[in-house]
This record gives sequence, C-alpha cells and structure tokens, in this order.
Amino acid sequence: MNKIRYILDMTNIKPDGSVRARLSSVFFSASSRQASKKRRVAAAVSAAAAVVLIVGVIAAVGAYRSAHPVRKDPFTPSPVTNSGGSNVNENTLVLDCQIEPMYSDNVYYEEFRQTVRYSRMLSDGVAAVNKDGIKKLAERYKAPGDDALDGIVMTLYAASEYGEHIIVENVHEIAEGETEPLKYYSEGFEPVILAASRSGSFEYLLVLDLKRSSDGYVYTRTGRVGQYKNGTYQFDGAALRSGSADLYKIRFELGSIVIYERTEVSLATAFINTASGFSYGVAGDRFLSGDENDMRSDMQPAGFAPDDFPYTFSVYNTDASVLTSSSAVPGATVSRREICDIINGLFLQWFVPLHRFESGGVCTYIGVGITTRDTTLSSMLSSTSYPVYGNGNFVIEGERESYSVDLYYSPWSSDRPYFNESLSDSAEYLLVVETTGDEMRMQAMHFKDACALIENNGGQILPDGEATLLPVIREEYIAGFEPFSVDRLCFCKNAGTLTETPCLFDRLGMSVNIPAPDLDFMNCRVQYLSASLIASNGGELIRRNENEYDIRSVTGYVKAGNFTVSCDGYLNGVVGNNVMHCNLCPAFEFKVMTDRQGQVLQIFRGLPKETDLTGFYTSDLIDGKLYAGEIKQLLYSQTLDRAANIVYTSVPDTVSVDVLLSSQTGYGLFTYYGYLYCDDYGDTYLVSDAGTVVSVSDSAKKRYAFNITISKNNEGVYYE
Amino acid sequence: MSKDVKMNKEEVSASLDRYTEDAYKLAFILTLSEEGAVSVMEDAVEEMTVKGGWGGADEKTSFFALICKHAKKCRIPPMTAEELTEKYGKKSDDFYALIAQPKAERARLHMICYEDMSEEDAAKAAGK
Repeated sequence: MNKIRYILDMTNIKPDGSVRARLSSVFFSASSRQASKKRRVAAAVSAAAAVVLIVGVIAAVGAYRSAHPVRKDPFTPSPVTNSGGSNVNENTLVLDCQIEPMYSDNVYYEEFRQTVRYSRMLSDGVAAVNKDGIKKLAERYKAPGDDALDGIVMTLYAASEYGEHIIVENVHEIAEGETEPLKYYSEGFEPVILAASRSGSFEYLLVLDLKRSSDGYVYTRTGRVGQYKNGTYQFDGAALRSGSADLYKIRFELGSIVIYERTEVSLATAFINTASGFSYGVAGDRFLSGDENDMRSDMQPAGFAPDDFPYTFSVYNTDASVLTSSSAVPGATVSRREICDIINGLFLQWFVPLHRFESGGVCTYIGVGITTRDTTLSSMLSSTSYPVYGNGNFVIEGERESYSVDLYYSPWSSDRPYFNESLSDSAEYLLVVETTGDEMRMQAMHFKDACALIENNGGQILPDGEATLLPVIREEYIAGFEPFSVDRLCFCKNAGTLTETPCLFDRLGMSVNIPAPDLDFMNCRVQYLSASLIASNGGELIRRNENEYDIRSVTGYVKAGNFTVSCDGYLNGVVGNNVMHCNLCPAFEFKVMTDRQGQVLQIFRGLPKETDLTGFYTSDLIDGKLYAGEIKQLLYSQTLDRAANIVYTSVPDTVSVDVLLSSQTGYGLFTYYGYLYCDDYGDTYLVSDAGTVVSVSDSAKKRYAFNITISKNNEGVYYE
Repeated sequence: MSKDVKMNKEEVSASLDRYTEDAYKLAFILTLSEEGAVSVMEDAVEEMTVKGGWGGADEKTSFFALICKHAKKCRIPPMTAEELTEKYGKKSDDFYALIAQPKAERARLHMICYEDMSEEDAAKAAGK
C-alpha cells in the first residue's frame, strides 16, 4: 500500500466541531455513572463541512525550473505620456505589464497567472480547479506512467485561515457557483497583472481579468476598458476605475509561488491622479509606486554573519514550560498565518548581529536590537496594505527614543531586512547576546562599551553600513505558541542557490523541541547503530556517529553539531561541514531517527518502503566505488565503528552484506543479525551467520530500516 | 474523589483533544459512516472511562482497540465507495482496496499505515 497516498486520502475525513463536544459529554456522563454502561443511540450527526470537491496533487517542494527567460524590463509604471497611440490622452493609463520576478531569476509569474486562471481557493480550504485547469494541470504535471494527477502543483495556496497546505491529489471538475469566476477564463479572459508591489517578504499583485478582442480593444467582464497596443495595455481611466480587480498577496517559497490571500479591490482607489501624472495606489496609500524599485536595490548582506545561528529558542507551550517530557503533545500546530505573523515581526525583536566572539564556552553576539513592539510599526506590520519596509520608527533596545531607520529587503534574501543607515550613528545602545548551550542572556550595552568589549576580545570595531537582521523571539512573547508540527510549515526559500542553508526556522532562530516518544534503545553489535524508531509523526532519527549528531527532537527544526535538519516534511537538506549533502527534497522524503532520549541516530532520505532507503551522506566511498543495487543506495562509513545504510539501485554482482534490521519493541521493528544476500535480480534474502536463510517477510522488508555493513565477498573493506 | 475526578477530566480532555481527529479517521474507516464513526467513538470513550483506561502508557492504543471493538458491533449502514467519492472526492486505489477489506483487516491496515503502528500492535488493537 502506498502510505503517502493513503494518508492524503484521509486528509479531508475529519470530525466536525460537534464531535469533540459529544465525546466530552459522554466522558463526563460516564464519569459520573462509573459503574453502569449505557449504550447510546447514535444521534444524527450534523453534516461535515461542505466540500465542493476534492482536488489533489501532492504539493511538493520542487526543483522545478522552467526554461522561461528572465524578463529584462523591470516593472516601471509609466506616467501618462503620449506614447504614440492616437487614442492616448491625459486620461489614459499606460501600464507596462512586464514584471521582474521578485525572487530567483527563473521564477516566472506565468505560474501565478496559470494558477489564478485555473483555480480558486474555496472557503473550505480546498483548491478548486476548473475544466480547463484540469487539462492544463494534467498535461503539465502528469507524472510519467501515472494516470493519476499526482504531479507537482508549483503554485500553492496558503490557506492561511486553515493553517494547512492545500493537498491536491486528484483533479475534479468543479461545480458552478462559488467558482464562477473561473468559467470566464474559458471565454477568452486572461488574468493580467497590472501592477506589483512588495512589502516585506510578500509581493502584491493587482490582477484584472481582461479579454483582448481581434480589433485590439480590451474588455473586462463589465465592458470595454481600453486597448492593447505595442505590448502594453492602454486603459481608459474612467472606464477602468469603475471596476474592481483582485489583489493577490504572494510569496516565493521553496521553488514556487504561494498565494496567501486574494481580496477584491476597487480600481477607483487604485489609481490616483497626481500633479505629475498618475501614480498607483490602493486604498489611498502609495501601495503601488515607482519607488518600489528601491526594494530591488543592491543592498547586500553584511560582509560577515554569525558562523552559526546565534541562538535557538524552544517554542514554549501555553503553560510556558519547555517541552521536555515525552508526554508532549505531538501534532499540535500553529497555522501558516501564525508563522507568517511571526515572520512579519508581530512578536519579534529583530537582532542584528554585528560581531561575534567566543570565550570560555560562552558565545557572545553584539549587535543592534530593533523591537517591533512599537505600536506604529506593529500596526504597519499587521496590515497587508502598508509597506512593512521603508521608513519606520524603531526603538533600539535600551533607548527611550525611537530612531528613524530605513529597512530594505534584499531580493536575494527576501525575508531579511537590511539597514541602510549607519548603525554607529543610530545605535547608542547595543544588545549583547550571550549564549551558552541552550541558554541565552541579553543585555543592553552602550555602543562604546560594546566596542571596547569587542576590542578586548580581539575583535574589530563594529562596522558601519548594512547588516543582516535576524529575528529573535523574546520569551515574553512566545507564550501561547504551540509547537510546530511536521506537516504544517512552509519555508521561505533563500533565493540564492540550493546550497544555501537557511530555512525559515533558521532565520527565525527557532528550534522546535518536540521530544521523541519514550522508546527503547536497542544496542546492537558494538560497531552498529541501532536505528529503530519510526515515530507516528514521521520523524525518525538514527545516530550515525556520536561526534556528529546531537539532535534532540523527532520533529521540527533542530541543529546538531555540523548538521542542520528541519524535520517538517520539507527538509531543505542536511548540511555537514558546510557542505550540503542533500538539497531540497519533496515532502516526506526525509527520515530522521532517534532513540528514546531524542538523540539523533541517523538522518536519511526516503521512506523505508520496500527496503528502499536512500542515504544522504556520500562523503565516503568503499574502494572508491559507489555500489548500486536494485533497491538500495549505498552509504558508507569511514571508520569501522560506523554503520551504513545501503541502498542498491542495481546489483552488479552478488554481494554479501551484513544486515541489521533494527527493531523496536512496541513498534514492531526487530533485530536480525546476518547477511543480506542480493542477487542479480534484486531479490534479497536474509542469511544467518551460519549460512542458513532466514526468511524475512515481504512486509518486514518493506517496513524496516536497514543498517547494513558491507563485506564485499568477504574481501576488501569489511565492517564487522 | 471529586478531586481525582477533576484531575482525570482535565487529562482526559487533553487526551481527547489529541486523539479525536485520528480516532475519527479510524472509526470512519471502520464504519464508513460519519454517524457510525461518532457512535463508535462515543462507545469507546464510555467504556474507556468506565474501565479507567485513561492516563495509561498505552492509552491511545487502548482507545483505538475499543474503537475497533465497538466498530465491529456497529450496525449503521456504511457509505458505498461511490458515496464516499461523491462526498470526499476520489481517493487512491489503495484507499478503495482498504475499505473493501473486512473491518478487522481494515483497522489493522489503517493503523499500520496512518498511525504508524507496528504490525503486532495494529493486529492486537484490531482484535485479530
């Protein structure tokens, strides 16, 4: 059985709100009666939330790269000019609809347009796709050899109200009614991006459904609004302003555009006459402006950054106690909106680390703290209409007065604002953050004293200029947050190369310490690991080497030694020794296994299905060769005391291997010692030390992780 | 006594918060009926409460086992595959293959697949 498919099948099978109350009622009633048992007649159950349809394509973190060229002309909203058309007059708005992608240069807004054209987010948090969309999606994302539409939908809807990703597995034709706008697209209308602006890490796109006729005129659904000439739309201002358009809030995440919101806006207020011509705004504000180009400034990150993330924080539960016991609630979640709120700084203090030194086990970071508790900024941050960037009033920690600073968002790191002011001028007080293991202490310090501290520790005076802000969640603000669950998270992709590590949690400086369930830890032979656990939430951690791992959570973001892992179903990969061992991978493809103390045992990619385990570290080779087998992929250990996961993609010849099938009592895993014999056909047998074939059931082979050492025909490199 | 009951209620309430959705899925798979699922869950909660099963180390497994037990007795008519498809959308072949199984096997497979239980635990909870 395909586990992932089945789990996705169950996604929308949920109890309605009354069920929980009914169960409580039963409990209380039974509690008071205690000894008697009364069978209840099932009452009629109120209907579950109406679902118009189920659409499903597994949302994946894709490395989708289209061959679309980068648009060369940045978006420059044009003032009214005589652009050569005879119909152009002072009431004509000429819009250049070429928009430079905000993020990576191969992101193309066509993906967004296609999504808008073919789908809508319904009130239930289900994505609806129209008939044309079905065909388009099927053509575009159909997995080879698979009739089911289980490909990749590169544009996700961030159903922020529901805190869930939209999982689209199979596409159905939608009904009319709620999704009525979609049917217009089959009548020749196309969603056209009129203008764009950026706010923080989000981008706002003003989209209007337009139809171009053969005579060159342009129509909305209410009537003619202009004409299309020389690649630009020329609108009759009065006609256009009488209508409305859709304003989309989007962000680039993990290789695709994610739609966070869609609201209808009146175009009457979108375009404002000014003395110098037209400027564009929404709700009376300068939402759309040529000045937005400043956001694409070439502000670069600070020349130095902390060698590692300066601090991690536990996400406290509502009782403000650290989740350290195994009775912690797995699966409790926060919604994407809450995460995005965190990102937007409602509860954050931004800390700009400028210098770092370490002494006596204490790591000290010195930098500038910017609090977003300032009400002006907080309200700005919480509004989707106001730009988050730009001039603002920030309170430097320790200061009574606010300082006016400018923040910019680099297009290369979209959720990291940068200063453009000289920090030494604006920061009289600095924050000093000291970290010792998991403890952190912050204090304000005068700039001069901080400089002296740096000098005394062999550092350099804080430089002026740009610096990278890192968000910090202050303890007093995190009460009420619940742990992040595995499959409820999104990550902001660093728009640089895939080898760059930071994921959202990295940038938030957060760790999610959801501890491992209380499980047995089974020792195997001395040199072997005893990877054994498959947690119900999908997290598995296998210790590879005590020197390398110390990850203490089954799920969530962790940092351990040289490895940084986020176990949320969207692992960005694992970095070891500053080398990315594994790049972006689709959801659920990473497994991190742990023992009962939550110690990471090993991290591997791939589900243990049908003995197919793929590993991620390839730093070592045996005899310089990569063994390939039909089912497994080979991972290597450098020293004798490390076990290796072996996965073969093809079997060149018969190879005998020692196999440890780890077992965890209570979870059904078991331990064998023996040889796994792989023949040319990929069939595997478990052979005991005595040479006797020990049968391994197919289901066992399919479900259990292997720790395999290699003895190459008892010659060569041999791990005992 | 009242104090013990009060403490139990809070813990049970927390457990119900944790288990409701997953338990519903199991109950639904077994009964293939929303009404049936809730009924089965109610019976399981009642028996769990009467027997004092809340708060143990294997609380969830026990609760699920009771769901399986009461699902066996559930006489509420199940939805057909077509009705399921109409209401919840087309599912994978695996899903339809699973719901075509007898209840006990359905329970066992569901718990292995969805709850990541071991075969032994799943079989035990399913009553096989």
